[in-house]
This record gives sequence, structure tokens and C-alpha cells, in this order.
Amino acid sequence: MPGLFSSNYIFRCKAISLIFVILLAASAHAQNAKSEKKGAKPVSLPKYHSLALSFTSWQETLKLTEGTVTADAPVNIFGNAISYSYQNFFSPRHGSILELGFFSGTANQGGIQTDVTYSLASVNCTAVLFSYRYAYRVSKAAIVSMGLLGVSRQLKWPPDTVSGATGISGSNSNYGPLVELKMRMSEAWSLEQKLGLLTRNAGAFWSLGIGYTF
Amino acid sequence: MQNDLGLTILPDEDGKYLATITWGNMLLPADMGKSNIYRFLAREYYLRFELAPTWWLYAGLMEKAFGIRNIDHTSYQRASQGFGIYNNSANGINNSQGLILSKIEDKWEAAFNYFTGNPYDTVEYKQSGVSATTEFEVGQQKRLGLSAMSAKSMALKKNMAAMHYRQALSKGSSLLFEYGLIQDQAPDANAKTGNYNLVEGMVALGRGYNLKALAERYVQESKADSPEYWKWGVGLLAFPAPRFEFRVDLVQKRTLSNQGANNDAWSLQQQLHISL
Repeated sequence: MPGLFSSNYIFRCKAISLIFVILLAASAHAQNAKSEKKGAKPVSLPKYHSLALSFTSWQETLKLTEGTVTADAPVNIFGNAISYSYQNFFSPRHGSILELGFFSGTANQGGIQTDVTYSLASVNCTAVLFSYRYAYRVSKAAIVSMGLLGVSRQLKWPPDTVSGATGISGSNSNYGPLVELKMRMSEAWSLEQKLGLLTRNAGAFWSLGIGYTF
Repeated sequence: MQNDLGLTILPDEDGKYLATITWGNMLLPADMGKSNIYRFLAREYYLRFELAPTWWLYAGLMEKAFGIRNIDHTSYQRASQGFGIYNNSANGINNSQGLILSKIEDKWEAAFNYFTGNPYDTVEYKQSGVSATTEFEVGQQKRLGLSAMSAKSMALKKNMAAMHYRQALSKGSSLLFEYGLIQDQAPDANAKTGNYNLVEGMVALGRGYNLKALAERYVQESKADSPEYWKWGVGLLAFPAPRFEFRVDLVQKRTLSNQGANNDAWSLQQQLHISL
């Protein structure tokens, strides 16, 4: 169990705090919303590269085995991800987004099961996140994109020291659909919310982040 | 399930005076289909006076002044703060009898609220106190606000403070943000201080149709081993016809904790508003 000042907890708190501080600091560069007239076509993005810091989480299913007895338990994985994305708009409204990210966080499982005793809760997890999405620019302030998410992650559940039970969760390579709403608070800063679904012994994926376009 | 029926009267053309009343009932999901349907009550009623230019006084049973007013009463930005819709809750209920003095200028506004409790709460849960909220323009289409509240009932003593921010991104598109602290102290118990936040983005897809994305988080006590309750949602806010407002949200709940994990909970929430 991580303590109050464990590096993981502090890193997570710092990232969440950074997101909210940037939310307010970014307002100085905000666009003039009044200048967006009805029916006006949005202008092309002058910049196409962006970096983002996000709080990310997804769920997996842990398959536990103790002798001949098996059981399933939910696993929550959460932590921070830093990602780079390249936006390529081939028309004022339509384009694509290619995104590559690195995730570091913690996996926690559902505690002691009724059929299989497995008491380990927290395990470190790292992952590479990949996404390619079709993007539609709703307005100059918002981009909705949808496509495929790929996750390649490192996560090993050690055997329970008392019962000897072992566990395997999700899949080292996973994929599924992903939707993102990117809201541009200014020319450079944006709020990014993602919602997806991982298909191989896993569940919902989401992230909340701040992006910087350059 | 919540059902409301409201009536508002503006006796003068200038709008210096206003009287409004809303009847409603709140049916707990567990009670649906049973015969003990809660009766309709006058859940909100107040008079509004314009005391002087930019000065307003409200008197009656009304929503307490604090933070961003979120129509979703199940939100982590409302429920634990004492803005729920059910009576006899230790956290409190959104509507309370009292007075609100409000000052509204072009660039800023402020409100002070003195409240004495909800008339349908039993004595143990009747919550009285004071609150204040202010919001000021920090840029074009951007407003930053601060709120504070101190409330007390026989069941719980509650102090809260929050910072909130609203930004209009373009026509029909907006961003809401709120971060707050909640300190609860039950009788004969130590005070617990937790925190919460709300991020909500809304994008106009077309005339009368908006896409909504939501992220909420609540921690009852700010400690490393306290579970974090998260809500994640996408929804649609639509005005398909004049006087009709329709909301639908797909919401996922996840509890992040180093003590263990539970399966995600999903819910589909809907609201229909009809103005006559």
C-alpha cells in the first residue's frame, strides 16, 4: 500500500493539480468567441503538433487460479500518460489524428475473492498507447475524433505469498474503439477528454488531459 | 425519478417583482412500482424584489447560493455538498428557507445567503447556515468565481469552499470547471476534509443540439488510501422543438483505490423539460 508521500501518489496529485492550474492559466490566450459568426467556415489550424499530459484509467479482468479453483476479479489501472499527436486536416473540417503516448501507473485488483485468496492489491504498470482517429472539426473551438486505440502494456501479477494463487489480467496487447473531444481554450491550449473500450478481457478506457499545440 | 410542475408570475413589465412556485415529488428508484408514491410538495417558492438598480432580494424556499448550479442532482459536485433532492439527508438538501441578497454588475456579481432549513426535513436534519458566492470576469467570455458555505444540523456540521470557472468557447460551446473542499464533522467525531472537482465541456453540433462530455471526482477524505470516486460521461443536450429540452447522458462510475477494485457501474440518465 503506497503511503501519503509515495512517489506514485505525489505524481498523480501533481498531474491532476497541473491540469487544473493550466485550465485557468490558459485563459489569457482565449479566442474571441464573438468573432465566430453564424455559418462562417472555420479556419485551418496553423499548427499540427501537440503534446498532452493526461490522467488515464482503464479496467481489466483478472483471471485467478489456486490449484484447480478459478475466479475472476476486476482490475482498475490508473496513472498518468504523456503523449504526442499529429493532426492532419485535409479539408477545413475533416482530418486525422495520429497519437503515441507513454503511460505509467498502478493496477489494483478486487481484493480477496471468495473462491481464490489473492490479497495483493497494487502492482506497477507501464504501457505504450497508440491511436489513429478520424477527426471532425465541429467549430474552431472543438474537434471530435473517433478511431482505434491500441495498448501495449507491461503488467505482471506475482503469486500470492500465502495461498500461492496466480493471476493474469487483460492482455499485453489490447485494442478497441476510442472517441475524443478536444476543446480549444486558446490557440495553444486544449482540454482533451477520451472515452474508449478495450476488447480483450478489459473494459472502459478514459482519460482527461491538457494539450499544448505548437 | 423527479417530477416538477412550476408557475412563475411577473406582475410588472419591468420585472422588478417576481413570484414563483414549483411543486414536485421525488421517487426513490427502490420505491418505483409500489403504492407509497411520495406526495407532491411545494419544493420551491420565493419572491424576488429589485431593491435598487443591480440589487435584488429573494425570500422563500430556494436553492442555496454556492458554486456552479448543476442540474444533475446525482453529480459529485452536488450530492456530497448537500445539494441533493431528498429530504432527511445528513449532507443536506438543495432548497432551504431563507434570504438571498444579490448584487449584479456587468463585470461581476455576488450573492449572500442566510438559510434556516428545509420545512420538510425532520428536526435532526434541518440545516441552517450562511453561504456566499461571487463571480467576476477575467477575460472576454471567461468568469472566475469563489464560493463558501458554513452549515449545521444535529446530524452534521459542514464547511465548504470552492473555486469555479466558466468559459464560452464559441457559439453554443462552453467549458465549466469547479474544484472544492468539503469538511464534514459528525457529532462526537473528528472532522474529515475531502475534495471534489467537475469538468464539463459542451459543444454545439448544430442548431439546438449539443454534445456534452463530463468528468467528476470526489474524495471523502484527502488521504492516500481514501478511494477516489470518478464519473465519466458523454451526453446530448437537445432542444428539438420550441419549449422542449431533452437531456440524455451515459455515465460510467469507477472507484480508484489502493485497497481493491470493483466493476464499473454504468447508467443512462434522462431529463425532459417542457415549458408551457
